Amino acid sequence: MTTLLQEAPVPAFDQDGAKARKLCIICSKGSLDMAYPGLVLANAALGEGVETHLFFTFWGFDIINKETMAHLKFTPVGNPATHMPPSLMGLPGMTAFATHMMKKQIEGIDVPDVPEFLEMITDAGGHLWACRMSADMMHIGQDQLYSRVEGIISAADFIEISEGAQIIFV
Amino acid sequence: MGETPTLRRMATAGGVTTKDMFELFPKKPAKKLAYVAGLPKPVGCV
Repeated sequence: MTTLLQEAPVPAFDQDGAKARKLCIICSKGSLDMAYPGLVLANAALGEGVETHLFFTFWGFDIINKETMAHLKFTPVGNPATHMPPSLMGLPGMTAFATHMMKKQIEGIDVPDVPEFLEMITDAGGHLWACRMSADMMHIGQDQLYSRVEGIISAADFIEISEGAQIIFV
Repeated sequence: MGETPTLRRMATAGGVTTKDMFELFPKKPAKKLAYVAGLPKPVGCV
């Protein structure tokens, strides 16, 4: 009896020759619901071996500002997708309530909060950058930003970094 | 239960740090881990 030993097929995980993919995500919003799309995509891209850069600008600074990053808020005001009567949206305490609910839902599916998410992304090799113009406008220095932000860079620097990259604007 | 863990799940429930996973299984840790374990690739987003 003879047995033919066949080599087990190994999927091509890292295709040599194929041009390396690169992704830049511009995070321009500082609300809880708008922080997550960029973070989730960055995390997914890193898990697929894609070089990933996150560029925080304007309101997006709240995501990397040490004082605000853990306290992003969600408001139903002006958001028809919440399917709430507009007259209720602006009631006092509604933002706190909506934020609390959303945080609970996020935690419920084991998705990390913003500071932990940024830690995960940088552990996975992601790069965080802050926008020079926003920093100057808001008088924010590197010491006020999350420690893993690599630098405050100008728009021209970002264009250099993003050469050959796919760009997502959030 | 009954699902391939995502990297996040590997870190929180499995106790392996994200850094370690990217060092041991570079580039595509989730897919490589699943391959070694003989499981389908994870379906979760995070």
